[in-house]
Amino acid sequence: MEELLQEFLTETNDSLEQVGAHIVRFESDPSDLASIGSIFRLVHTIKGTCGFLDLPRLERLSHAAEALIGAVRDRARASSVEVGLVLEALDRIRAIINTIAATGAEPDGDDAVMIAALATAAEGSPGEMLAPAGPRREDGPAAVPASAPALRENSQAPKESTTIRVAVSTLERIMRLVSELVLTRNQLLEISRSGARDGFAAPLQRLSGITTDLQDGIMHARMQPVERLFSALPRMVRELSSGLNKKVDLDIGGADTELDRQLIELIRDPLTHLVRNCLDHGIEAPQERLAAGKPEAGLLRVSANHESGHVIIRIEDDGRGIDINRVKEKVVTMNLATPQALAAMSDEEICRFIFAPGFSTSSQITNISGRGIGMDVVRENIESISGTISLSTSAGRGTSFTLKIPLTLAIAPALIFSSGGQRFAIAQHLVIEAISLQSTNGILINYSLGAPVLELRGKNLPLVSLNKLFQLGQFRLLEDGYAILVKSGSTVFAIAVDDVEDVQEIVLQPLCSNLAQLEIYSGNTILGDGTVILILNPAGIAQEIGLDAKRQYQVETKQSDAVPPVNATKLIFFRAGEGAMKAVPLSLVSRIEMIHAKQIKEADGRIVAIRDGKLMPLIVISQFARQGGDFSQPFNAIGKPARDAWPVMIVGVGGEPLGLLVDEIADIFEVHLDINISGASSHILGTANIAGDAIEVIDVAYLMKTGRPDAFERGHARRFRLLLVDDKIFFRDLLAPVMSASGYEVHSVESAAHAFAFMAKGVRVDAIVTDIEMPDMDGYTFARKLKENPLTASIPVIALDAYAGENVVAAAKNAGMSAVAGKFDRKALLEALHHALEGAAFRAEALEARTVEALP
Amino acid sequence: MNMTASLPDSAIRDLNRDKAAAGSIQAFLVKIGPDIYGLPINIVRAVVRSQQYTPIPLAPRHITGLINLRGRVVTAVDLRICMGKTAAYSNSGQLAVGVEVNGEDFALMVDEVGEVVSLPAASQVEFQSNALRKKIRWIVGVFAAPQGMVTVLDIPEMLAANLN
Repeated sequence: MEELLQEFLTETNDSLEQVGAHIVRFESDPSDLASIGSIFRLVHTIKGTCGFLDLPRLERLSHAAEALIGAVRDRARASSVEVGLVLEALDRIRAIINTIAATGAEPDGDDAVMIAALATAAEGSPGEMLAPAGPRREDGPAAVPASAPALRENSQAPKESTTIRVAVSTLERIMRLVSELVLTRNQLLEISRSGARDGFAAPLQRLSGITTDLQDGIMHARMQPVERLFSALPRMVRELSSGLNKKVDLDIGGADTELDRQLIELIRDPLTHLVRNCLDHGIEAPQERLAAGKPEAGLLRVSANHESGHVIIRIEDDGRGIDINRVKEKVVTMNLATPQALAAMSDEEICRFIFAPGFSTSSQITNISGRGIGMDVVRENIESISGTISLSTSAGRGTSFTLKIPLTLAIAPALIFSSGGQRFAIAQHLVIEAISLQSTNGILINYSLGAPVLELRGKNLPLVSLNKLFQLGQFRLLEDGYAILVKSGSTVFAIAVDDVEDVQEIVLQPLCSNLAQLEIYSGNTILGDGTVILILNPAGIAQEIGLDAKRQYQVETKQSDAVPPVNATKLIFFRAGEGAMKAVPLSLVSRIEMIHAKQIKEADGRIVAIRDGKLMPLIVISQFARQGGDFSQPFNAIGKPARDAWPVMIVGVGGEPLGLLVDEIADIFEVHLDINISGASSHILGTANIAGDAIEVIDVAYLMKTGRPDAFERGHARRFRLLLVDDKIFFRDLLAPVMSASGYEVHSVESAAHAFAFMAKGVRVDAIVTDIEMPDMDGYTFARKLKENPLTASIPVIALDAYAGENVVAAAKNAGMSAVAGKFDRKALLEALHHALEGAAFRAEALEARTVEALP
Repeated sequence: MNMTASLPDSAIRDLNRDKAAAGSIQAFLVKIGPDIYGLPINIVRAVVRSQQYTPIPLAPRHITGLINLRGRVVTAVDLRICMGKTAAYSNSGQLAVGVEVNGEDFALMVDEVGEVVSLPAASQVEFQSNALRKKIRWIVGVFAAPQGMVTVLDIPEMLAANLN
């Protein structure tokens, strides 16, 4: 009995959901016998079953409702009063059923009044005499065109005989078993490929085919028509529009489009919200519409269709559209973007701001779509199921929202890759591309404050090393691996991995609930060979490494365009000659010095500065600007107005500096460098709009090329001076050439004592590479002594050991060393040097402090 | 592990507590070093040997990794670490007890597995101090059994706790 009751409740609930749509359709089209027929059948079934299940109240009520619906069916027409009565009766039935579901028994109560009204209506003539019975139906019945043939077909089919109910858990279990079967099949196929056994091939092929069919079949079993979602809309639209005193026609299309049942439930709320929003904000009041020359009734079209492996759901209205100017105002007030940034955006891009948290342009708050909480939630909900939402709007003509939903979450292609000896996956739809990081690929890895940044096709993308993030495996050069470009919201970044394997269809399973807080994973899956692998969640990784999450709701430009979430750039602003303020990135400037006029000479047609007994070429920016790059101009051009000293920015880190002579250093601050106009002169990178001023950004690379052509040719090989300390001549001879070949100036000594003596001569040393095991003084002690002396404390020390084991790394760190490299690991040594010296060269903060002090 | 539906875990907990008060607890005994622990019998599904597992980087230390157990992904939990021991189980092939909690499968890695015992409420030992409770909050009680002192664990509570 208990089971029967349960069955009845589930069945009835489902049917009630569909009946709402039928009744509204019947009202607008009284000749639609199919609709009223299905309502009649439902109520009839309820009545019949109630007697059997001993539910007297429900039985009496449904009997009365059945009588009216029967009468209406026979007359083939219904007044709005009758529709109202039937709806109320169905509501009551629904309420009673909910109570039964919750408590197991019928609620107390009396339906005499309603039953009497139903009975009178069933007997009497349709319409006028019954007006008081259904007052709320009077105030604006929305006419809904019958436009969904699919619904009609379904309602005519005797469903009961062709479908059975299956518990979701049973379906899930079958799904899992099929996945397992697929994996086993794959293993068998693998075996048969390696050694052909004649007898097996044919049956194995058949097994394979059947397995694929079975997989399709079970996938299909999980699919349900979106009708389940759409059937609730007519009634909702009808009630909301009458509440708002608006007239709205609802047009539903593609209700038979099928979608994974799990997804259907997940998009129910976002869809409801969007529809409410269209009714509330989109469609105007009747007077307003008439005044605008539109039909009195607004049109709301909700449609679904399949499109390239996705289900597209559109919610369109012909209302007033989104007021771009109000959005702009709001964007600026909420500080989401500057007016300048907005000016460069398309209307569509600007509209996307309505998905920002807390965004609302509606001045009046209504109880229907609220006060602007919601659109961001809609976006989040859709994105959480790997879908996307977009909108287009046209002032006065309407707004259209498009939801793009994957067919299923259960099986999806994923990119499989490995890092630190472990395999991982990322859902394919989040991957933009995977590229090899070898420098021959036109790729450059830069370091910004110690964090790698991938320079790819002119864009800078944060690069996360998975080995480093997960502390996996041995130290590896990034260049030996691959980068996977992924997107998280509108942020694009790169994940450095060891190897990229292939793309496989995977069945995503969530991690157990006590690991749910690990947002770097979206779940796990079992691969063809039986290994369990983790599936990474780019959004979680972005959060883990602190990529700016606030900007995520920012405008998403075209998908193919990787948006570089570059950190703000620190710029030095300076004046040189007339014209606009100029700027150069701070990171490119190693020092700023005041150079005395007496130190500036003209030699061999060039202007040079004598500094530390050496000549440094100078480029006079003011002159350069005027003369278009020919700096063999007579020196006297900078002589006026006469000054004692000039600020010179020294670029070209390492042994071959170049001085940029300017009039005045103005300021240093951090900005988002966004060059709007590319440079007309070759030494100007472009003009950027910074805080409302046009600033010329100097192309230091070009100046370097002109001023120091020889240095530039050597590219990255900077003339740093290294001191190699090792007691064994073998290693001195082995390693010194390695480092020299990379452009370093290397001096080798055999002990710590010799190293101290070398430095005591006053020779500047940029970095020290030292053996650990040495007689007299070992590497750790040497490093500690260096750190104790303020003169040498800032020199990075890199330890050499036979192999960089964990304890060695710890001890080295303890002694103040900056890195450990294996003696035979040439690449690791160079990488460590690169790191250490990059930091030393760009001691940005210290430089900034000095520069700021020097400011007037 | 079989897929038999189990009671909600809160119910199991209540059941265990009630039994601790009156009647007896059915527990599956496991050993970690010299210590004997009891696992509530109604969540125990199987005794397995953990095969090759997939470590989960950045996961809490007591989560050893994921195991493929006949097509089901099972989360391996290092019971040694849960019990405040420092040395973790090092490798695959470790003996583990499969349990099902809230419909999710876990493999609790232990040193040895024993038998199922009935622990009468009367054999429950009062805590002399709060030291044990402070150290391990997820216990149902300590019982004196012929095998020795048995600490019956509240596994759902243990798994829900943040061990970091």
